[in-house]
Amino acid sequence: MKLSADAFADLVREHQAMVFSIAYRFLRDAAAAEELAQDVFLKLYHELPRLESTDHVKFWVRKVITHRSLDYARSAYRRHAVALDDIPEPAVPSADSDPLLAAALRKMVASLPHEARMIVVLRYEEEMEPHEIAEMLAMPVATVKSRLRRTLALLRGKAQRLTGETVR
Amino acid sequence: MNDLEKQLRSALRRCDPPTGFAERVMAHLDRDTDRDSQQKPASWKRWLKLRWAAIPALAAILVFGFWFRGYEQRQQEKEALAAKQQIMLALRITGSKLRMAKAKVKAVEGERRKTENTL
Repeated sequence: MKLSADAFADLVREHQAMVFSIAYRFLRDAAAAEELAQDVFLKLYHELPRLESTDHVKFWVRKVITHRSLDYARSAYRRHAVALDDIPEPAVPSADSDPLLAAALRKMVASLPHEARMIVVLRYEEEMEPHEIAEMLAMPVATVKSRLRRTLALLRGKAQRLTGETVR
Repeated sequence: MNDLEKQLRSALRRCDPPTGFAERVMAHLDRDTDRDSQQKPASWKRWLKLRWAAIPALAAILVFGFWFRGYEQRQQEKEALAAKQQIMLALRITGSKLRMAKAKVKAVEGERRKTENTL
């Protein structure tokens, strides 16, 4: 694909929420998420001639931000560590049925191991199917499904302890 | 879909990046492009400087190469001359020895003939 500067800016606007959200929901660090998202778009600009369609661009940016976020989280040199409780939530349209439970769930997700956390983010933020997640993370579909099941059971248990009610 | 999954979808829904994100990406891209275009002449100049430094170095290597080749040739000629002189000396010694042996043989034969004639 070849794009003018204006068309590339439009492409950035089209995908910025997806790219930023994956990094932010995974890292819970707005500054790091923006830094990674910017890097992904700068890399995209140089990669564009090799990408064939808008679907290909979407797949590429989602894959790159996923792996960049995982690498960042795994890195021993993470310099901008921020306490999870200190992070202000970015402004989003209010659709939470229970804002307190939503905030608690985000904290619970943030406490998951890296791969389980990324699987949850891709499944529930990006609405990706297990086979798509498996392809993106280069792991068997059965592994994705079993980790998702285990993670949901864990989150359900924590949510029940938090609310004192049975969460289906 | 159960309650937990609904809650997760709601809790993890997409959020917009801070205001001006796209503009910052484009500004970053412009800076990178400018820096790349400025770096090209700099690297060209560096290459030119290196070339001017490389020419004397290459010339020195060539001169040394030719000198060393000549030195080796002269050494070989000297060795060949010394070997030739040794061979000539050996031949001269051999020749003189042969002449002496021949003279002795002639003397012995002369004496034998004299003895035969007197008998």
